[in-house]
Amino acid sequence: MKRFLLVLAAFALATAAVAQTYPARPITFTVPWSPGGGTDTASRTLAAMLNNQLGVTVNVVNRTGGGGVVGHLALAQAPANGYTIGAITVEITMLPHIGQTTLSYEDYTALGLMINNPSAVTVRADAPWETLDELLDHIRANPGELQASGTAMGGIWDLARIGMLDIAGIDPDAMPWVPSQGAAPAFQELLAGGVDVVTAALAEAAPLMQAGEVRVLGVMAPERVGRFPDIPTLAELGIDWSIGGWAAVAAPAGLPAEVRTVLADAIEEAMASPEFVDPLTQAGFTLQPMNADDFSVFIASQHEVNGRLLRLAGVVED
Amino acid sequence: MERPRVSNVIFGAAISLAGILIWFETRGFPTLRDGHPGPALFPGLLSIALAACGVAVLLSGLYQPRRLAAEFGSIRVPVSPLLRVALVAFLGLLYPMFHAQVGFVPTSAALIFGVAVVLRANLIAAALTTAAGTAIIYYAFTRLLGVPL
Amino acid sequence: MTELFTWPALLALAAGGLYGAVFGSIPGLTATLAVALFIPIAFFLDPILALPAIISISAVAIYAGDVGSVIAKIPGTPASAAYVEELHKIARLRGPSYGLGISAMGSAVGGIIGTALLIFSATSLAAVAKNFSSFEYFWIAVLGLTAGIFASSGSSLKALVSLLIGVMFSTAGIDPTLGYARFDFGNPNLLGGLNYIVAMIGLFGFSEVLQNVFAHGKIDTGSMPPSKGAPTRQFFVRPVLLMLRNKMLVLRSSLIGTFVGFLPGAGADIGAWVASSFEKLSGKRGDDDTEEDDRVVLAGTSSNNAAVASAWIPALSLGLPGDTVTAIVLGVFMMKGITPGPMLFEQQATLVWSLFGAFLIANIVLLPLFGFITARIATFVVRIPFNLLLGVIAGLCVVGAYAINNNPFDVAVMVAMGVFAFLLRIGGFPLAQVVLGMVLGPILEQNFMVSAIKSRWDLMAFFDRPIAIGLMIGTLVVIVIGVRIKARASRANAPSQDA
Repeated sequence: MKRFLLVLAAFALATAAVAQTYPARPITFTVPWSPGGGTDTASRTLAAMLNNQLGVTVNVVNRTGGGGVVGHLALAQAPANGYTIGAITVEITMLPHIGQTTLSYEDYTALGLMINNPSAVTVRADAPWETLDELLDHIRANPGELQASGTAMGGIWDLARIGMLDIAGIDPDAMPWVPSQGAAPAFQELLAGGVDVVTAALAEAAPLMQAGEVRVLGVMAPERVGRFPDIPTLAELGIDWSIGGWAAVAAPAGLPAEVRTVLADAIEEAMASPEFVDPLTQAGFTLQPMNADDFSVFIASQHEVNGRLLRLAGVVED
Repeated sequence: MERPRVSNVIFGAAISLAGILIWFETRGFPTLRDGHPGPALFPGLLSIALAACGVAVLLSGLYQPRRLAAEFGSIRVPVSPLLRVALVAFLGLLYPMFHAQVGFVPTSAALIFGVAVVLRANLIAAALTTAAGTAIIYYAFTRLLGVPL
Repeated sequence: MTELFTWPALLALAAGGLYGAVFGSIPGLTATLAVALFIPIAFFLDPILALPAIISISAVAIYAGDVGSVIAKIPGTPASAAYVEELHKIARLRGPSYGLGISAMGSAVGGIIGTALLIFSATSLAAVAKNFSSFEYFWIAVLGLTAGIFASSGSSLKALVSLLIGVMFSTAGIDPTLGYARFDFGNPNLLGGLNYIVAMIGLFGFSEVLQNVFAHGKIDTGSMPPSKGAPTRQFFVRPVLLMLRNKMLVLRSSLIGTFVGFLPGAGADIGAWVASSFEKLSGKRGDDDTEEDDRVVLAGTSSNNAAVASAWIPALSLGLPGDTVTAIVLGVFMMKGITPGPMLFEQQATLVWSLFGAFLIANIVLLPLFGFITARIATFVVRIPFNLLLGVIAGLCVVGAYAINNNPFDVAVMVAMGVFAFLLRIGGFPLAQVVLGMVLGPILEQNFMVSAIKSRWDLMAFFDRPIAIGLMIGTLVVIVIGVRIKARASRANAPSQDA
């Protein structure tokens, strides 16, 4: 027992010492999605800047597979010493409701929100609806006629549809969901006339919109997106609703307070600098930088909202 | 391969059995909200097709029963070759089992050396190949390609 | 086009080719991964440098996927799995230079034909692609799978079993309709299903090691023959002569590759399978025909690379990315404020012509050049005694399977697949069909389910649309021809027939 206490004391001392000199060795930055995606791109940009600010190497490691669960799990289970941080995404506020993992946002120490790509209501360029109101009126008048797509059943863009219809006072079943493996196949279906509406990210709709193939009726963001000032938000159109696919930075739960401060400050500073903002904005991402404290509040509310929407979607039973 | 009939009987039976087991597993899958089959549809159909094909393979082995009996009589299970296969498969699992404790280099060295020894390579040549192979793979993947081994 | 002929642009093109050759040759590292890891650099480069580099990475990496087939029977892409047996046999009999020569020369010509179609008919092909809904995708997956059944040299029944096993593997993980986790056994690593590249490394690479261990190195002890004659003759002259003898085959395969390849999704793989099974079905042309395998490889490899070029069609003219590579291309476009769509060809004429130029240089100059270098290296590698080389191959299988997701669990999947494939080989079941099933299975199921949900389970909708009916008739034609040829073949060698 004595020996155990001694070890414990030594451990505590070591932790304290580490905390004082943090960071003393390279940091691993896990990403739960493949190289090339939005989360990966934002993470790599941020890691490169943390590299300079913290003065240690920040290695990005993609821990992919399992629909994001593997990477989220790897981060949650890493030692909470500040030497493993990583990206977490909107899925962490959805998967626990579906029962695919016991993980939730409470298994992480929030450090900051990087990107939040809003959903856009997209229709074919030759569709009869010029405004969102016309579309919603059509749905109201002909429930079940139009179909929407964008991702899997109960995925983030399905929740975008449900939330929009719910707040507009329409039963979500009036425009049922056709599942797809991501945004690109959904847009393919839209072009081929298989579905009528796609509610995937504005960033994914943008190239098609510029090519003149689709029309974006509204964006589910709190304010207009800088690069597309002509697209109204849903709130302006009378529907107080915004949703996006976000990617944030976090550490395992129980991160020592000093380490958290060092990381949160560095991340907040990095995310404000043009080296972070400019390339990502140009690449089509919508940035919504949020510091650690604001993000802690945000992720808890996301957990609640998405749980409610998933119940509306019928994916989760009460 | 040398005794196609016997192997067809065994493989046919195994495939059918797997098909039936999978079919029962798929019965527990949920249906879509409107009652149409969802997650169970494809695996269910596939398991039936597998079971049917398994029966067909089995029957092709039973065809000409006298030759089948003769082949069955001449069967000897190749015990030591199978043990060698099992050993190499085990060496391949060293990395997923012990990567957290010992890392990449020892597990990879054990695998490369093990395969060479099993294939009766000269021990010195095997040791040199192991050292060179492990070093090259480790360097190429960690340094050049940025894979964290 | 002149913007391309500057030293930095040419250097970027060449560096991309080298990088692609390295990535493609190593099992587990794919063209997609190569391009994805290039993104952070791509975003900071001028598009006139970044896009040509992406083009040469993908063109050369797809070819280099055949290097693994030659050395160790490990195909680098699902497309090269279509002809891995034939290519490995050619390399064993006539040396790796000749084998890779067919592959590189076929790829180059296929790539050039694909580029030509990209240049002259991108907009009209895009209009066709636009009409592909889930019904058409479903039928094209059916067509690809049917081609796979008859593409085996052995029993069609066993090929069908392998295919069913592959499709069954693909159903593991989250299902496409409800997001229900199937066959995950409570393991989060299985939620996303089995990765087909991981499976491919196990099915081909690790099972080859096990097979040799089983036979105590008796099967393949000898290293490959040194290439007869000068390597340049083996690599360049003889494959070109082969192509000249089979002009129509190369043209036909490249057209198949282009027309299937522009479909967003798994176009390239389906193209290679359809093209090479065409050749397998036509079989020997007379008794003194020794080029059967060579033609199969030529067909697969040329359609494969034709598809690389045509995959850009929907991205350039519709803004619709077909795969990760073209998604990244669109990302670069967005960043630089380039607008995709039909107008791209007028508004950004210089850029578009530079892209076409880059495709042509990559296929005419870089592919043969880096192909020749990799063939020389392969010739050296295969001289290592096989019992030593096999251990290193086993090590590469482990690290290659790990590198895809940085997940040790995948290594266990790879080993399990290796053991499973070892058993399949004993039973005489083909392996390539398992991979085809795993690649096309999700396309088949996803598009069937989407179509059914969309049409509210009115299954007649599958026979409603003209292109869908065309594809269905194509499938029936493949079945009729396949069954007739198989029946003829089994009559011909009835005495020694093996079920």
